[in-house]
Amino acid sequence: MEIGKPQRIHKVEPVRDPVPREPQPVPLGPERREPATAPGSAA
Amino acid sequence: MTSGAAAPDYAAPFEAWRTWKVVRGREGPVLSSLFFDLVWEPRLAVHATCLRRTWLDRLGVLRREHEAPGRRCECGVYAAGLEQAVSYLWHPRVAPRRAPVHVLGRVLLWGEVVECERGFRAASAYPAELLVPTAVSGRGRLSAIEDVAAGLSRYGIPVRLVECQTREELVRQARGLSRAA
Repeated sequence: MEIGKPQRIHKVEPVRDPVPREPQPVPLGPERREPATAPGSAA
Repeated sequence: MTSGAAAPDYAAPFEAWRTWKVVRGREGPVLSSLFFDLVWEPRLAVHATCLRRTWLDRLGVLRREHEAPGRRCECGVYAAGLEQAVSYLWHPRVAPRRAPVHVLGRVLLWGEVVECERGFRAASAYPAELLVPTAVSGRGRLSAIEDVAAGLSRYGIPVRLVECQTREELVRQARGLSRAA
């Protein structure tokens, strides 16, 4: 690529990362957990 | 000019334009430099290293290692204005034989950035938006081009298919799309 002669040098330090992050999986509904029951106890 | 230890001049990346060819990667289409064997992986910044090899380098007579972009070298990640980037899609050395799909895109540049008369050489870069023009990908079927465009979504940035026939039309559409972004 023909971009000509250097004119100036800049130091660029972005505050935010310019690379998009991997999308995180979002839970679709309220988390369901079975109530913990001790062995032998009435459920 | 700034030295390595100086405070940064800018807190946001520079934006410019460049062109890539699309090649087949392990998990789908990936961007590759037009003139070097350098793949731009999705969601990974490209950090420049000096790939310039003079005949003296090849003979091992003179090899000066330096960080890219070297101030006295020509290395770094290149980017330029829209019209110049578009012109490379019609460059004779970019004949779309091996890679039928070529793309245009806005690119973010950061780290040390050498501003030149008509463009930039940067230490680090990542695309910000990709435009897949049908005009220079005419050897592939439109559906294949659409598949490539869909595959490029792995970069996590907007990817647009631009239906155009001429260079001027592509410039006009790219200008409009980047304004709207």
